[in-house]
Amino acid sequence: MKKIIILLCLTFSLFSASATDTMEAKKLFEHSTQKLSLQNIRLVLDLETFDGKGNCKTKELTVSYAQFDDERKVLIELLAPENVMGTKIVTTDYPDKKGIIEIYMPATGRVQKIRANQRNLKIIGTEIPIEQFKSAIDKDFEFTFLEKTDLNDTHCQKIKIQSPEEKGYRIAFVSIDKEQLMSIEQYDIKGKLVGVTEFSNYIEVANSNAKFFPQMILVKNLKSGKSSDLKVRQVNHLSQVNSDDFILTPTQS
Amino acid sequence: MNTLVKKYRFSLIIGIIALALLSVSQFSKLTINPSFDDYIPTNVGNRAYLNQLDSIFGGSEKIMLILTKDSNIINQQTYDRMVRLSEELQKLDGVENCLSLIDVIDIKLEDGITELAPIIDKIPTEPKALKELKQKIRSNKIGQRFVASDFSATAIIITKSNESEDGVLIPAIQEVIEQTPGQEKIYIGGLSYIRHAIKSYIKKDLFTLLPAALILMVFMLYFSFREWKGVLLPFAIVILSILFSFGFMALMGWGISLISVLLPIMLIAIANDYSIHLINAYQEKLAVSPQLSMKAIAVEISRELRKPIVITALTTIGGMLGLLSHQMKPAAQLGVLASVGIGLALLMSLLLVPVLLTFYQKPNTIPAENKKPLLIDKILNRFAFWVASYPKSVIASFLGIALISIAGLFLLKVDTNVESYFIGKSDIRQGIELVNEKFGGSQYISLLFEGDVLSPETLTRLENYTKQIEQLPEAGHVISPSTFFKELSKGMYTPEEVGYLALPASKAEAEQSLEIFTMGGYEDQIAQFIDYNYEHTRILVSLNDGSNQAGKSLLKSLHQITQNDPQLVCIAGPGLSKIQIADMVIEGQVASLLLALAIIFVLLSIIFKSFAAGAKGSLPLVVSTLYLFGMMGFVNIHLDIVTALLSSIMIGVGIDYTIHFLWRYKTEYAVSHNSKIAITQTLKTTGKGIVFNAFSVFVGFSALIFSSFAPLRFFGLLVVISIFSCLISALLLIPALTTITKPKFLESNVN
Repeated sequence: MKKIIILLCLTFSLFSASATDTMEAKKLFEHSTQKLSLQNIRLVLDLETFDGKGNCKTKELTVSYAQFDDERKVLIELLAPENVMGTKIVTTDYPDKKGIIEIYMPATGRVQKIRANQRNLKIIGTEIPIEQFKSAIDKDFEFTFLEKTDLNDTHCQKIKIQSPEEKGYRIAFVSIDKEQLMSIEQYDIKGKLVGVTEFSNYIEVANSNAKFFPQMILVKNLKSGKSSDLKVRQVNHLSQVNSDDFILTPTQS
Repeated sequence: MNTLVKKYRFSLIIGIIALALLSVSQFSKLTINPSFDDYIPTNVGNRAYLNQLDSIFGGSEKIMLILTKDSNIINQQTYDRMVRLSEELQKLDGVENCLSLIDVIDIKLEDGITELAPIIDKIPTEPKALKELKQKIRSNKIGQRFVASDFSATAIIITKSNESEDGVLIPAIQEVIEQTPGQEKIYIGGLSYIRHAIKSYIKKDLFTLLPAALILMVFMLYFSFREWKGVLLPFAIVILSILFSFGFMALMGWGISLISVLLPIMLIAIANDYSIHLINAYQEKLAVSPQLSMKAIAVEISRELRKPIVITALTTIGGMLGLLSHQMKPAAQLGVLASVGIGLALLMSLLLVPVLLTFYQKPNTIPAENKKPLLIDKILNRFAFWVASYPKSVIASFLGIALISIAGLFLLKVDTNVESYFIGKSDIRQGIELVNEKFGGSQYISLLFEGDVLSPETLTRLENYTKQIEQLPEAGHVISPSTFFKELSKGMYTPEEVGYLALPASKAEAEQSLEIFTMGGYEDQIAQFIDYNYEHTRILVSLNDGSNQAGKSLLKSLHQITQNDPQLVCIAGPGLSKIQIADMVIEGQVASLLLALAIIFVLLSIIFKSFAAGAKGSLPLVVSTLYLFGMMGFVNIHLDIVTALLSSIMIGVGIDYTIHFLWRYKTEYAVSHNSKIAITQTLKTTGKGIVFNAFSVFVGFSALIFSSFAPLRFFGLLVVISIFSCLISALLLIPALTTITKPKFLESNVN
C-alpha cells in the first residue's frame, strides 16, 4: 500500500511538473510573439526570392497590418519591378469565416475578390506564409520545453509546438535574455526538417509600446530548395489607422 | 602440347582456377544499367536539349499512378485514398511534385468573388450532383488530364527530380501504395518505372536464362556423345568463359544492360563448339586407334584440330568485333566481351580440354559407331544430289528468295520504344496500355520558347500552336500556358465580358495574374510551363502511343507547326530519346554489318590466299542477311536495340559452316580430283558436323524464349532462323557455286 501511495504521489508530481512545463513553454512563446509588432504597422521591404535552382527575383513592397474590431487586415503593395508595380492586395482575416483577398491589378484597373484557402496564402512571390505573422496562438496548440541551445551566438530555449491539425511539428527558438523569437523550424511527420524561418536584427518600433520587429527574415523551404530573404528597410507604427486605406478601388468599370 | 601434357598440366589447371576466382571476386563491382539514354552522347540532339529543359523546369520525367475500379472512380473511398496517397508521395525524396484530381483548381467568378477552390473536395452522394461534378471535371482542361473519359480510372502524376534514382524512388512509391490500401487496383506507368522493371527483369533473366541454356546444353552434349566427359569438358569451358567475360566486364566498369543478357547465352551457344570438335575427334581416335593412350590421343587431336579451330574462332571473333562500330556502347561492349569470351574459350579448348582428357582413364568399352543412316544423312545425300544435278536451279532459288527479301527490307521498321519490351498481360504491360489509352501517355515532349514569353503576341502564337497540336492524332494531352491563362480568366471575368476565356491583354496583366496565382500557393502548377523569371515557357505534349513511328510523326508535325518561330529554342523530351537511339541503331546496324563482312572477307582471303575466296565465302552471309531482314520486314518484327546485333552475331557464327565446307572440300578434291565426288564426300562427312554445330547454336539460343523481354525472345527466334539460313547456304549455295565456278583457290594445287 505504501508503495502504491508513493507511486501515485510520484505520478502526480510528474504530471504536475509536465503540465507546468507546458504552461511555461506556451507562455514563453506567447511572450516572444507578443513582443513582435504585428498590428498597426507599415513595413517597407526589399525582397529577394530564390527558386530551387538558385534563380533570383527581387521585389520592393510595403506591408501594412491593422486590426478593426474582429477583422484583421493586411495590405500589401508592390513597388517594383515595373510590371507588377501598383498591384495591391488586401487580405481580411475573420475569426469565424473564410477570409477574402482583394486584389487590385493595375493592368486591368479592376479589383478582384478572391476566396482561397488562407493556410496556403503566402506573401506575394515568397515562401513566407501570411499565417506566419499571426500573433494569436491557437488554444489547441501543445507546447513543450526542449533543451536550451545557442543559435547564432544567442542562448535560446527550444520549444516544440504541435498543432492538432498538422501531422508534423515546429520547434521555436526563443532567446532567453530578451524573449525574442529567433527561429522556427518545421518538421514533417517523420521528424525531418523541412523548413526554417530565421528572424534577426530586431529593432524597436517607435510608438508601439516597446514592440519589436526583425529587420531580417529568412525563410527556407528545404524540400523545394526555395527561399525568401526579406530585408525590412523601414518600420512605422500606424498611430491613426484608417479603414479606408485598406479598401481597394477600381480605376475602370 | 606434349610438354604441357607431361609437365605443366597441374600448373595450367591451377592457373585457370586462380584466374576464375579472380574473375568471380570482381563480380561485386557489376551493376545493372537498364537505361539506354545514358549511352546517348549528352552534348548533342535530344539529350542536350533535355539537359537544357531540366535546368529550366526541373525534372521532365513523369511517373503515373493509375487507380482503376470496375465501377465509377469518382467515389468517396477513392477520393480519400487519393488524398492519403498524394500526401505520402509528396513527402518522398525525389518527388518534385505530385499532382492529381485533388490538386485541380476550379476557377470561377461568383457574386463578384473569384473562387480558387479544388475542383473536388467531397464526393456528392446524390446522383444528380455527382453527374454535375463529372461534367465539371470533363469541362476543365486541366482536370481532363487526371481522369479517364469514361471515369473508370484516375491518375496521380508524379514529377521525378533529376537527382533521384529509379531504384530508390520506385520502391518507395510501391511502399506508399502498399501502406495505403484500398479497393482500387493501382498500376504504375512512366519511363522511370519501366526502367526499374527492366532492371529487375534483367536480374530475373540472368537467373533463369543461364540455367535454362546450360541444362539444354547438357542434354544436347549428352545425347551427342553419350559419355559424361563429353558433357563436362565443354561445360567447363563454357562456364569458365562466362566467368572470365563477366569478370572482364566488372574490371572495365561496364554495366549490365538488356544487351548484356545475351552474353552468357552467346557463350553457351558458341564457346563449346571448339571443345565439341575436340571431343568428337577424341571419340573418332579412340574408335580407330584403341591402342593409343589418353595422353597420346590428347596430343594428336590438339595438333590435328588446332588450325581449323583457330580459323573458325578468329572468324567468329571477327564477326563479333563488327559490333564495335555501333555507337551504342552496350553493343560495342558486347562485341568486346563476346570476343574475349570466345578467345578464351578457344585457348582453353586447345589447352585445357586435351590436358583434362589426360586425367581420364581410357574407357573399357569404346562407343559403338552407329551404322544405321540417320535422317540427316539422307537429307545431306539429297543435297549432294541437287547440287550435282541442278546447280544453276539451286543458285537461282537462292537469288529468287534474296530478291523477294529485298522487298521485305522496305517494310522493316525500327522501334526502340522501351514500352514494347514487355509481353502478355503483365501488370507493367497493362499499366503502359492504360496510361497510353486513357491518359494520353506518360512520355512528354516539350516545345521550349524563350524571350518575352508573357507578351500577348507570344501567348497568342502559343494558343494557335496549342489548337493545332490538339488536332494531331499522336498527341495525348497538351499543357500550354495559353490554356492556363484562359482557365484563369474564368475567375476574373464573367462570361459576358470580353476577357472571359481570353488571353491577357498585356504583359503586365499576365505577370500580375501569375503573381496572384502564385500567392494562392499554386506555383507548382505554373512552374510546369513557365519558368521562375518568366524568361522561358513551354508547351507540353504527351505521346498517346510510345512507338518510334508515332514519336517521329509527332516530332515532324511539331516542327512544321512551329516552323520559323523566332522564340522556339528546341523540341525535346524523354520520349524522344528513342528516336535518337533508333538513328544510332540503324547507323550501327549498317556499320557493324559492313565491318563484320569486311573482316570476314579479309580473313577468308588470307586463309585461302585468294580474294575470290573472300568474296565467295562472304556470299552466304550476304544472302542470309537479306533473308533475315527481309523476313523481319514481312512478319513485322522491328529492328530494335537487341535485334540490331543479329547480323554481326550471324556473320560471326554462320561463317564457320562455309569455312568448314571449303576446308574439307579442298582436301576431298585433292584426293578425288572430281568436284561432284568431293562435294558429296564433304557433305556426308563435314556436312554432318556442320549440322550438329548449327544445332548446338540453336539449342543455346533457344533458351531466349524464356526471356521476360520481347526483343530477346525475337532475338532467339531470329538467331535460329538466320543461322539456319547460313547453314542451308553453306550446304547448298556454296556447293552449287563451287560446282559451277570451280574456284582455283580450292582446286589450284591439283590443276
